Amino acid sequence: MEIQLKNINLHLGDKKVFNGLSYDFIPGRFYVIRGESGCGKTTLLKCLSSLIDVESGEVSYSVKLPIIELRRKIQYLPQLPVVFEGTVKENLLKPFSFKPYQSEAPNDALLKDRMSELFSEEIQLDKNCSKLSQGEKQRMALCRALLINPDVLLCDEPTASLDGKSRKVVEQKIAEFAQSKSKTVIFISHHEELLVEQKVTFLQFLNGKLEEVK
Amino acid sequence: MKPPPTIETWQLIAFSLFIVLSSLVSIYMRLKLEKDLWIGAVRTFVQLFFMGFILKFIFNNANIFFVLGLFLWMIFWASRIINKRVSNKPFGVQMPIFLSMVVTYILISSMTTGGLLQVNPWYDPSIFIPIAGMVIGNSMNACALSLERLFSELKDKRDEVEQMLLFGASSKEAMLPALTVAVKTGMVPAINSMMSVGLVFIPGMMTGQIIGGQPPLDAAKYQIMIMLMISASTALGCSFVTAVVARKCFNEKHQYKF
Repeated sequence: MEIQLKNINLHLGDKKVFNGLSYDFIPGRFYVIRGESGCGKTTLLKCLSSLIDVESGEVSYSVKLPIIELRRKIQYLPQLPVVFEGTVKENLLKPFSFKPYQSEAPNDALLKDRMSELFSEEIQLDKNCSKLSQGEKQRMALCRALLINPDVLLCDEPTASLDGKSRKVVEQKIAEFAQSKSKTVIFISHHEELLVEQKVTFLQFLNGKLEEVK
Repeated sequence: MKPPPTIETWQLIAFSLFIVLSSLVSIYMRLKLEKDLWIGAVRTFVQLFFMGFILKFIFNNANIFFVLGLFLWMIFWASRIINKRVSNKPFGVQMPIFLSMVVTYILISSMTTGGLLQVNPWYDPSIFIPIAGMVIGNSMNACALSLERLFSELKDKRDEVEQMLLFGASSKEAMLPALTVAVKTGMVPAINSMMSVGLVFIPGMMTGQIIGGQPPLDAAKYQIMIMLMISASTALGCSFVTAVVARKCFNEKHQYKF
C-alpha cells in the first residue's frame, strides 16, 4: 500500500507539528525516520494510521477501504507495547476478537509457531502477561501485529527500552517482514544504526517537514 | 394508631439549632464549611417549601401536563447537578443525561404506577411524583459515578482504546470495556443498598410512611417496590447515559476525540 502525504499541516497547542509536509511512502521500502524528541514523529505515525486528523492537506492511501479495515492494514508498534490484561494467548488473539475478523483467528499451533520465531525459549500461551519482561512484551506485541499480516508496519522506537538481545530479535524480525513482497516499514529510531543489515531510506524530520538524507 | 405530631412553625425554626450545632463543629474543627452549611440549610427550606406548594397545586389539578412538566423540571435539575459533579468531563454532558433520564424514568415510573400498581390515571400526581422523585434522586448519583468512571477509563486506558482501533475495531467495540466498567461502577451502590436495607438503616420513604401512620408492613412493601425500581432505573439509566456520552467521545472516523 502506498501512503501519500500532500501538504499536510497540524498544530498541537501552539506548536506547528507539520508545516506543509509532503511525502510519498512507497511499498517495499524500509524507512528510518530521525528527528529530535518531541518534534512530532509519533504524531506522524498516528496520522498515518488515521488515529488523528490533519488540519489541512491530504493523507491518501492507494488501497480504498472503509477506515476500520484500512487501519488494520497498517499496524503500529509503540515504544511501550500495549498489553491487555490476560494471558499471552488472549493478547495474541485480541485483534481477532472483533466481529469482522473472528473467522480468521489463528489456532494454537500457529500461535506457538509464530511465537517461537521470536523467542528462543518456549513461552506458554496461558502465561499471564503481567509476568512477562518488557522485552518479552514487545516481542509478543510484534508477533501480534504480524499475525494480522499488515501491509505497513509503523514502528515508534520499539527497541528503545530493550536490551541488546531483544533488540536484535525484534529488528531482525521487522527486517524479515520488510523483505516480504511489497511491505512497507516506517521505523522511528534514536539509535544511530540498526543492528541488522537492511537497505533503508533515511528521513530527517525537521521543522515540520520530512527530508530524505542521501 | 395515634396521628403523627404536626410540626409547628416555631418548632421548625427551633430545628435550625441543629445547623448551629454543625456550624460549631465546623468552626471548632476549622472545616470552613459554615457558609455551605447555612446555604444548604436555607436552600433546603426554600426548595422543599416550594416543592410542597407545587405539589399541593398539582394534587388539586391532576393534569398530565402539570405532572409531566414537574417531572421534566426535576430531571432538568438532576442532569444539571450531575453535569456539575462529573469533574473530569471533556465536554458538557447535561443534554445527553437529560434525554436518557427522561426516557428511562418515564418508562420505569409509568410501568410502576400504571402497570403494576394499577393507578388510574397512571400519572396520578400523588403517586407518580413521589415515586419519580425517589427514582430520580437515587439513580442520579449512579449516573454521576458512571460518567466519572467512563471518562477516567477512556483517559487512563487511551493506549488500549487506540490499540483496539488499530486492530480494526469499530469505536463501539473499542469503547466497550470502558463502558462495562463504568456501568458496573454506577450499579454497585444500588446493589449494596439492597443488601443492607432493613439491616442497618430504615430508608427515607419507609420512615416517612411509618411516621405518617401506615402499618410498617405496608410501608415495607412500598419500600421493596422502590428498591427494585431503583435497581432497574440505575441499570437502564447508567447504560443509556454512558452509551450516549461514550459515543460522543468518538467521531465518525472512529477516532478518539480527546
